[in-house]
Amino acid sequence: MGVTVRVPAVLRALVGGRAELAVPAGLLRDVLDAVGRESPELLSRVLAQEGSLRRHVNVFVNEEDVRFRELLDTPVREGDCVTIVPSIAGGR
Amino acid sequence: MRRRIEVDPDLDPVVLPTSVLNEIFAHAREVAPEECCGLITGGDDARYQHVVRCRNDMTLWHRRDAETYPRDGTQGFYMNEQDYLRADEEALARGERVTCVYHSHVECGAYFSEMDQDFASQELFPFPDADHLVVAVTAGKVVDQVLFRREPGADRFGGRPVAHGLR
Repeated sequence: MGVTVRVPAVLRALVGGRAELAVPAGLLRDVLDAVGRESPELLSRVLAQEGSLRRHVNVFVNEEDVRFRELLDTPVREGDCVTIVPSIAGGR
Repeated sequence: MRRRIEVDPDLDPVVLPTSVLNEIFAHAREVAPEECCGLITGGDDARYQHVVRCRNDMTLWHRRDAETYPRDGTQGFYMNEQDYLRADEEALARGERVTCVYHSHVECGAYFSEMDQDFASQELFPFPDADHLVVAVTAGKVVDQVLFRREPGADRFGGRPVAHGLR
């Protein structure tokens, strides 16, 4: 069954227009590695050079932000859904 | 080091429909003293057509992790991801796109702050061609509004006056 990685419309150009990718389960870092094999461009926009999540990008496993779980060590199980979402913020 | 950008009165004003501005002003007034945020969608013939309100989650994040999110919603906005993704999908389904990101500043001016520029200039910003509308709310009233648009051929934004129009 694997894991579904949902790609929002704003990033689909990086994965040939696909809305979803199917990859094997594992830790989030394994899932992102698999994403990187499909689209190194997308992965380079999610992870900084040192391998941590970029500041302006959020990754959710199901409905949970991985920053409040175990970051790249968050387990992603069969049937889970991973969503990559750039953040929009600002202020005075 | 970025500096805040103010309105440049020498730039041509941008005309936004009165109905669109009124909807955004109402949103800003209703959620003050927190900042409001949302999107305007439209097409090539009418760039500013529909207003989509989004939730400002900044206070939520601040309460959850004040170290990473030192501001609350009175000093910043963090657009709810599900809200903006849904708005984007619905705009695409209508043959439109997101043409403007709006938010309010409460008890200060309608400038494009360092933080606003930081997010708007990030490589993955979802709507790189969108304008940015900032409205200033003072004592519960909207007192100013400025539209920030990327200057052609330059990696900087210019602050344009906003005029009311029919469309």
